[in-house]
Amino acid sequence: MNNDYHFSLFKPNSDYSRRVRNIVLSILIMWAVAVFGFQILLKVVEKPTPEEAYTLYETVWPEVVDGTATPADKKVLAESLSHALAKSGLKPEHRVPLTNVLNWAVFSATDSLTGSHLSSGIAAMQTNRQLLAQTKDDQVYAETKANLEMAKKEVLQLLNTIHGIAPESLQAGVIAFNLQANLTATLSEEDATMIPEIMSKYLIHNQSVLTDTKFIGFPFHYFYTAVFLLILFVLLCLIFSMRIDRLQKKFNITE
Amino acid sequence: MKRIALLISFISIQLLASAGSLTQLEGSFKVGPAIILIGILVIFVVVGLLHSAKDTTDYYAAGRKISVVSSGMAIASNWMSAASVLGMAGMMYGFGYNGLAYVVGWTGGYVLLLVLMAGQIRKYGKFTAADFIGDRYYSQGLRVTGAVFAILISFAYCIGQFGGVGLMFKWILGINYTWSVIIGGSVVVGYTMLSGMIGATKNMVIQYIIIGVSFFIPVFILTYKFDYFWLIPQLGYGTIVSDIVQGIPAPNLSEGAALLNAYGQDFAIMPSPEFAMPWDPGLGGSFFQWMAICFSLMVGTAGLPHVLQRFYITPTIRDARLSCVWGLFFIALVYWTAPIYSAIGKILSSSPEVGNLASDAIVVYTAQLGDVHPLIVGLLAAGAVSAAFSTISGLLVAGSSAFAHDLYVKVINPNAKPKNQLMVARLGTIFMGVVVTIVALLNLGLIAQLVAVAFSMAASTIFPLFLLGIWWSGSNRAGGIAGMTTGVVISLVSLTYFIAGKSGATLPGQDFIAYWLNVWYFAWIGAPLAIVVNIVVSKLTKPTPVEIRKFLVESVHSS
Repeated sequence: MNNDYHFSLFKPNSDYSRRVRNIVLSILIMWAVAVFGFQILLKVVEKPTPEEAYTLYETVWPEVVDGTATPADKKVLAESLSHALAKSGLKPEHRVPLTNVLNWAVFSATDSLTGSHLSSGIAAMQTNRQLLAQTKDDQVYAETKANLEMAKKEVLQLLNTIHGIAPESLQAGVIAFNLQANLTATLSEEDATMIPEIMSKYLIHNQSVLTDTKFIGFPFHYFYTAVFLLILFVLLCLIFSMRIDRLQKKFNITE
Repeated sequence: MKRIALLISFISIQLLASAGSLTQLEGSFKVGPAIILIGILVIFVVVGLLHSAKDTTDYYAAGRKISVVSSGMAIASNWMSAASVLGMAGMMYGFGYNGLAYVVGWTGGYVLLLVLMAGQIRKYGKFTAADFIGDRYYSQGLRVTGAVFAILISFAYCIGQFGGVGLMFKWILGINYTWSVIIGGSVVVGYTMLSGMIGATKNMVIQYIIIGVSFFIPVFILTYKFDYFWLIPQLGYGTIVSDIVQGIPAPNLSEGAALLNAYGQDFAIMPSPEFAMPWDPGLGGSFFQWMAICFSLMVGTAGLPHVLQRFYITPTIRDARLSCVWGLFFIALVYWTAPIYSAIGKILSSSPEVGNLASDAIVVYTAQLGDVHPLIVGLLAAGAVSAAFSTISGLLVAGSSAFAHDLYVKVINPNAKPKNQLMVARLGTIFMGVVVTIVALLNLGLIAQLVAVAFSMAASTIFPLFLLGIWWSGSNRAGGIAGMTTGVVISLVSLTYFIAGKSGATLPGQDFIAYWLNVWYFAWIGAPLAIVVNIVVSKLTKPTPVEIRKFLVESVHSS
């Protein structure tokens, strides 16, 4: 050992320090590569991948903008929009144009009588929903909930009549929840301009072979990050402790 | 005696049975959870009384006689706050894969802590983080700065915890927030003041067991109930994640009874790849942010005073290392489990009628929506209280030690008698507890949010001092001061913009700073910069005194 007492991780001053340095650096390199290396790999191989709903939306959107959309196109559009409206991370400023266009897609495909019934049903749903949020009385709560369910059932049936959307489907539930009682809904230029960006934001995801491959049921990258890395951290700590213990025994170091 | 015991157990069973039906979702006194809560509070106080600190070594370092597994459990429960236990799942629920940056950051930091610091800190033989900094950098100024940081970080962290305690007491006891904070705060300050690190550590072991049991039981029930692999749900919940990505259609009732949530809605969800796909644009958060958060949390974990202080309590250096391994294992057990709540909660709340759940309490809400028995939900809430208590007691000890040991003994009154030191430490605990309670009662959201800055601040100020202080004898006082100043300046810039943003003010370059120097992750640049500045200034100034270098070589890195 040098007797000037200068010490650094990269310039160890004894055989023991050198071996400790090697253990420390090897563990740190494994740690860094495992954590950050994998995420970089994930970034490198990713490809923007649209959901099926986005692909369907793309097939009808040009007709919608041209003003030549058929009722069938409007049905596809409404169902595609429902996928974006169901996203938990949907920002309020994005919900508004989506809802406006959804309203247009539904109401513009119906006759005035059905539209009027639909509008009443939606208004009843909204009223009961507000009451539900305000009431503290159990009996009133139960009655209001029953009324809400009844109004919702009616709206779902009408959606089925207008667009053939199955009442039990999740899309129907989302559409019913987001519709406004607005018979004269129109497709504004402003909303039409915003929709493509909103749809791509919420319905296109970063996917790759690492995300699409399954491992014990998980998307592989999710398993790696949420489960495997934690196991690796514990193992790295265990290996480090054991190697240091062994080294100290070898050098007869007692604490 | 046997008769009395039987009678008590009968009454308890009757009470608990009735508790199940009486328990409601919100707002009222809940008998069963209240019994559980009061029971654990009594245990914490009794354990604190039984392990009262006799001297300052007991108070600061638990007499350096805590076993490896116990120390590991204490590390885990000290680390896992109410926000961590309840809110971790909320991160993934709200931010999908981006939330995993917190899981990885808050666990990966322990590898750094073990490999770079744990053994060496214990070898240095000090009581507190500031104690190490002051001695290693032979600077009273750095000692005081380190102590002030330790107090500030503990203070900001504590306020959030008190808020969590208030929330859970309110939920269980149906009392208002003010009384919730006062009762909860009094209990934890009381037993920590009496027992210091030793009683706090004994309680942390019990608290970890409560956290673990309360956290795992609902997961087994939920996975069993919704027909997923429930024997080892931590490995089996992959199918749930894949189901969320692909979507679960509304059930066809002709195939049998449907699985429903507590409100009678189908266990179904539209395809939601954003839940699992990396840095999804729909949820916000970029690749850079993922990496920066992960790095900052890792380095910050290794620089937090109340975390570093846990390594002073073991009898030997080997024990310090092993306790870190056990601690990480116990933390990982909970963090492996947290995503299950987020995944099941995601499906259960997918109906627009339910809407987004509050991230802070996603675990409790998921159990409620999954129609888990109210008593078990109550146990979960008691687990959250335990998590908050264990973290608060660790923070109070860290804060009061910094005050009593680093400021009072080392700066103000070096000749203080041990008895006086112990009294000052206790007074420091009470003072800190009272101030934190008052601030928590003011319910200033901004202060509670400042905890976000704690990790990056610790990473940019304390971590570089420990890293270079341990691994490079050339790091000297001037380098330490310069590095610390760099870290503080970057912290202040980020903090100023953060406060301005929260107050609605706009400063020049607001968006730029909010993205690149965000309070959660400014350490991605703050920590490396502080290290570089420390090295450069150390190289240009007077070398470290030989006695410090000698101590470092012979005592800390000896062969």
